[in-house]
Amino acid sequence: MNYFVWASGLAKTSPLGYALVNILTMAVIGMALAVAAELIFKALRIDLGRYKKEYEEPGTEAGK
Amino acid sequence: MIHLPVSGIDMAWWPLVLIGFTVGVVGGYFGIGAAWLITPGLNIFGFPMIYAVGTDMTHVVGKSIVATFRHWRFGHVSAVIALIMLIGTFSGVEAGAQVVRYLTAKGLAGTVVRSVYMVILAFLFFYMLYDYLRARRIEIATGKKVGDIVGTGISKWLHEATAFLPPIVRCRNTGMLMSAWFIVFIALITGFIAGFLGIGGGLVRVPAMVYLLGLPTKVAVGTDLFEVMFSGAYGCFTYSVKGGVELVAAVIMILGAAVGAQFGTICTKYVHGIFIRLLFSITCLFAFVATLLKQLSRPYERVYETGIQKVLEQAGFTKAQFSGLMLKQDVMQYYMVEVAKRPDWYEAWKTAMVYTKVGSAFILTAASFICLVILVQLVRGVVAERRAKLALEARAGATR
Repeated sequence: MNYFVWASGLAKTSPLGYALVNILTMAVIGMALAVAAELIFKALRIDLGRYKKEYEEPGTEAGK
Repeated sequence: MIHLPVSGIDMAWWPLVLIGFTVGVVGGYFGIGAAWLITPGLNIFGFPMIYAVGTDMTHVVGKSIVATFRHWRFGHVSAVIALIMLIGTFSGVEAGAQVVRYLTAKGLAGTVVRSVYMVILAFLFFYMLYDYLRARRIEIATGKKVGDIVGTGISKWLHEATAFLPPIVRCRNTGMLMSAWFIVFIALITGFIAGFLGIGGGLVRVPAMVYLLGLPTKVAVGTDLFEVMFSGAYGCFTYSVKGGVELVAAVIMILGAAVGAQFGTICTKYVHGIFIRLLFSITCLFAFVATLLKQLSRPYERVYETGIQKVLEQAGFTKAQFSGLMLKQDVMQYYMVEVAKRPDWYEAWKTAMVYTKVGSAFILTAASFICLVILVQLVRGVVAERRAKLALEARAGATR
């Protein structure tokens, strides 16, 4: 919570610093959560697969 | 309860997690930021509204990173197209914002912007619904399941018209070749619309990628989320510099959004692109109704909002407290009727509140409905996949 109190102080004293802190905080948390989710899926041996083409090439009936 | 240090307000933490989760599901599924769901949701739970847009854009940065990562692992993200689109998007957004500033100076911005927004939403609803029904007709005619339809007459014409303009880029996910200028042009248009409407743009960009760039639906969803990371960061920066962001709230929202985004993103594995378009069209319809209700309340809000804000300021309340106070009947009755001696304000407030409450109930119901449909699709997909895997294992065991 001290971190957020410090950051809120920046909002008044250094708006540019506050903006950079916000972006960095979100980026770090986002990446950490993304990697954590990936590790959880790997640990549970869940294979989520890859993109499968599900459309017909243009020129076929469904592609028109 | 948590304390929001920038605004000085205390509020419960669980609505932020819930809103974050819901928007994570919807955003991960459609590739949008879903601000039209967030701001009314925050309003209902007493979040100070002057920080709502900035906090939303801030949390979108983190949420879009989580969702983009998942879509990238699926192979739904074309970083090349997303990065090229950023050039057009930022330029278009600035141009759109300049037009709004001009209209604001003329006192026309609010009505014009909301009307244009409703026209676009209505168009998207009808066109994407028509597109879905066309796919179903093709299925009946051919007897084959249509997962996705790539390219329209317009996108094919635009591709051909710009095919001679280098540099030509390749979308690795689909093998498509297209001129970078074509991508920038489309991004300029969608960026202009986003800047004009004051929205993130995903609601317009995803259909543009599908129908004008001719990308498959899921690749459009993933690619848009990649771009949302940067446009969200830009929005976060501009609002933070003005002091319009509650970082604590954004962090709590992203905790819910990170979980929701996993569900929403993974669900795209189990549904066809054409079904995503159907649900997208219904989402546009919900956004249209929400905007219409807001438009209907505006004439009543204009009667009292400037005056009552002055009265509340004189009474010692901060701007952060205004939005919460203006939802409370006893507070408004006291300050409008007894302090300001303006019963006409109170009558206008009561009518505006009807629209606000109906609108809020509608938004919450719509968000819950969309979220539920996505989660049901996810569960059905997981169960079907599991059954197929077990059947395969059983067959493999029987043949040994």
